[in-house]
Amino acid sequence: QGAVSALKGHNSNAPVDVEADRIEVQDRADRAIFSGNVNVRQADLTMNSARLTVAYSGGTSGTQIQRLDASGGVTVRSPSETARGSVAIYDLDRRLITMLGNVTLTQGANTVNGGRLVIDLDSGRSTIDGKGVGGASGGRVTGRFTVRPSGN
Amino acid sequence: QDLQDRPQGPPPAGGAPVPDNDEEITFSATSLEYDQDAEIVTATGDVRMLRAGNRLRADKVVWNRKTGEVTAEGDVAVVNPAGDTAYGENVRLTDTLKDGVIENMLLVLDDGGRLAADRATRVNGVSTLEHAAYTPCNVTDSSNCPKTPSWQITAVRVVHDPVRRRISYNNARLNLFGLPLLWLPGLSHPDGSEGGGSGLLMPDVQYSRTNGFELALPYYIQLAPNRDLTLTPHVYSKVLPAMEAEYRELTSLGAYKVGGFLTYGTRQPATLLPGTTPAESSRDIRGYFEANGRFQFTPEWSLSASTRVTTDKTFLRRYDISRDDRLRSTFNVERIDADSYLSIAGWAVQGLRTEDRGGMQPIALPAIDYRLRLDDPLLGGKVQLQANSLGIIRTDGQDTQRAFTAARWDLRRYTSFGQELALTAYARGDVYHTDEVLATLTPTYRGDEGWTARGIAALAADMRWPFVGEFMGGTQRITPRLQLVATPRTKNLSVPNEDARAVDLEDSNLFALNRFAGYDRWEDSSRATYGLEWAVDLPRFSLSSIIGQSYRLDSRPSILPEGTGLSGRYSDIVGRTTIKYGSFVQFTHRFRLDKDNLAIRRNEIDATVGSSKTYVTAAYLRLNRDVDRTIEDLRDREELRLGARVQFANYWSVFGSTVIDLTGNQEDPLALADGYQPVRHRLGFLYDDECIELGVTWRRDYDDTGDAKRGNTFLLRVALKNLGR
Amino acid sequence: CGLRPLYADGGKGSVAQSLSQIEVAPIPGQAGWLVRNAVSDRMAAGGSGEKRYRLEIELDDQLTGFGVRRDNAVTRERRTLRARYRLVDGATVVLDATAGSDAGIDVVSSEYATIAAEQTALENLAQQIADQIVTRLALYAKRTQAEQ
Repeated sequence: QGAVSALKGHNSNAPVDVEADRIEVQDRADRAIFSGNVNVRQADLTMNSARLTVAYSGGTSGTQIQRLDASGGVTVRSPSETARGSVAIYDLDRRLITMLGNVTLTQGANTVNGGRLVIDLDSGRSTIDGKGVGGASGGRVTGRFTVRPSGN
Repeated sequence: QDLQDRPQGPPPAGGAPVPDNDEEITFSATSLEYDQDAEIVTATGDVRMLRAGNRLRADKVVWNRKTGEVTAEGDVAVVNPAGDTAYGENVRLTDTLKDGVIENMLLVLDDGGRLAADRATRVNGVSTLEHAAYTPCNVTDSSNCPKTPSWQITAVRVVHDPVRRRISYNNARLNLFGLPLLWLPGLSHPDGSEGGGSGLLMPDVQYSRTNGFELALPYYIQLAPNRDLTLTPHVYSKVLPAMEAEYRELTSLGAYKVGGFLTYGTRQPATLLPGTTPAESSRDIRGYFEANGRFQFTPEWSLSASTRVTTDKTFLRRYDISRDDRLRSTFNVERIDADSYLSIAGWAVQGLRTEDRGGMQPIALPAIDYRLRLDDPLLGGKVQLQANSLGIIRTDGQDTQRAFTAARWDLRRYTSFGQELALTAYARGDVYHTDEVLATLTPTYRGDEGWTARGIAALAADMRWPFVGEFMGGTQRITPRLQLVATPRTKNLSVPNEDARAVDLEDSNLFALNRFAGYDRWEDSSRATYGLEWAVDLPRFSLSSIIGQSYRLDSRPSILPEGTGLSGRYSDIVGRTTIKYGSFVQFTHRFRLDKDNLAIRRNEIDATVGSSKTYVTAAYLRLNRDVDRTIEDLRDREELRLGARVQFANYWSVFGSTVIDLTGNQEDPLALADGYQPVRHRLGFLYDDECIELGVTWRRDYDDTGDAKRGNTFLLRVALKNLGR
Repeated sequence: CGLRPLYADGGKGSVAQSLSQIEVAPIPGQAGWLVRNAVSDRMAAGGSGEKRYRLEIELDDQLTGFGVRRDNAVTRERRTLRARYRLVDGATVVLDATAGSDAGIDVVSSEYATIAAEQTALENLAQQIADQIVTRLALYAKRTQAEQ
């Protein structure tokens, strides 16, 4: 379980493919809304949720996704950890994933739960605190870590 | 190092989810940062961490999962499973939360003891503290303001090893009420977490005129959880040192204890007159041995035994071991079930009184008593069959063997008038054998040489008629009682008297079937015994008073000696009055008045006034029975005992007691005393709080027989309480 | 002052009947055997009904010496027998009281005679303690009857 987290060095520019039951494109607002078993994959990062809103910038060189907003029970999975929460915002430009509402981050046997999770894909650092909307643990972060077997 | 409580107090038990297994750390915090690459977890904001029973609380905790090092800062408190809480400013621990370095640490042990240190490192649970201080005393007074603990031990280094359960110091200094007193180079003591291990107990310091200064230093060795040995060397300034040992063991069947006291010194005969130099004093081994034990083999069978022996009569008094004047050795095998009782016992006594001659003291071997209770099918009463046998052996005196079987029938009924009626029938057959009769001084105790048999019978009816009524808001009870006893003559003087020598009529044996003690004498006089009991029970006050007398119906001369209150046809009047007012006043008066002139024959008053902390107690005894001189046993006496204890300033108390022998020649013409002869006084101060007992006692003894000299004894008592014992 | 017999209507009376519903729990030692039998005999005077109450008795037996001569020899002893007893109805303790008495014993030159006198004192004290306990239980029965 000691594998270094795969989040670090995730390539935010990799192609993003999305599957969903329904899709509604709002061209003038440069926005597309997917709903029903939405599944987003980018390189080895996947995110599924009930609804997804994709904001992209139209322009001469084709569409460029700027931000994904998922809601209705979001699960973000990477090869080394899984994060769950009620709402997730993936800002590709600033390479930040923010999840809110009863967030749990599990990595192997370690789990952490709190109100809000911010994963910084550049530094590979994830910060959890009790703020966020209606944090279940009343503003506290709780967690469970296993000591490595060589633990002295 | 500051022994006071830290502001944030121990971490509360909750706060973090409970880990599933010892390999898991759970925590809770206001926020947490987890740097995946460096594998550093940083928790901030009232952080609680929990691992295998160890709880940690801090403002900020950084845990490097690679190196396993946990650093906690800001009001850190760590509690181990044993309940000891360590506080510190910043703490570096391993992720087992057990070992590491703590600055400005305070360790509060589960049993209340405290260890504070400028710097503490803990490896595998062993804490080593630099510039530390230990105290088991409270550090705050009743109104919770900080106070200097009554005593504390400061040391350059202190090591607390929970595995060996010991706290050891080097270069330690004991200071009492803040002033450094005693330098203790290599002190170590159990940490009190598990019944304490071996170690020095508190020394006893004493000064007495006979032995000079005495220092006793007990060393306690715990051989096993159920076996221990205490060795106490006694060092004196005027006599050779002595060694005391006590071994105790708890077995699955019971427990026993073996103890002894051994020294080498001058033996002096007890009959020595005061002031004269001992004619033939011999320097010899002097010692005392005692052992006792009790074993319960089955729910019915049990054995209890005890023996106490000393080398010479004045040894126990001289070395202030005990003031007993008779040392009893006995064993008793008992079988007890709901309806039967069996006792096979033996008694031997070493008399230490001046007039005791070893050879004359009886050894009772065996003393067997068996009783069986059956229901009487015919009339519904209760039948008790009894078989008894006794063997008395004297090395140079009269020997006696006795055996008897007895049957007693009792029937209890209520009459329709509310009377309690008890009918009794008693029959007994005795067989005696005795020899060397002339060796006994008192003729009436001798009996006839050789074999003698005897029969005893008695019928009795005992009626009590209790009346109850209201009285001043409480109840009162008046109970007249009448007992009629019919019993034929029986051969008393032809059998030896070994167990019926202590005869004195009082309220406890007034209505007994046989007012002699023991079995060798039977009061063979038909009589009527009448008495009245009056009792009042108010909410905080109770009084009960009994008075009674008996009248002999037949005119046969009684064998009861003059002065026992039973010699005349009318017996003396006996009674008892007990008065209790809440738990504040307790007064008991027992008396026997002469039947003719109501002169006081026996007067025993006990009075206690006060609460459990501050009280005065007095006991007065006056025996003025004028028993016939040839019976040397029932002497007359007069004695006053006073005692008092005053508790002031919630830890200090002063106590005192005195015993005065007031026997003069109008009570006992042969008495040596002159009507006012103090026997001993005692006066003492005691400071006693939750962790130290400091006492000084002055005692003056007037006993100057043998080598016990009249004089003062001063005892200093210092006891450091819950020093991990 | 309205004195009435404690055991009105004798054996059939309510006090005697409620006494007969008390069972005495075993008490350790010889003193326990003596006191238990003495109390049971007195309470069986009104016949023996089915047992509803349970009486638990704890004994404390002390022997003290006094009348001390100048050479510290004890000339008089006193044996004190005290009982603490609880009447238990099912699981609730309905009565918790104490009883006690003492007897004087002369210390005579023959040590075994003193030991025998101490034994006789114990037998007499057992009867006295039984009287005190049974009377107190009878008063309790009379008072609770009056209240019902």
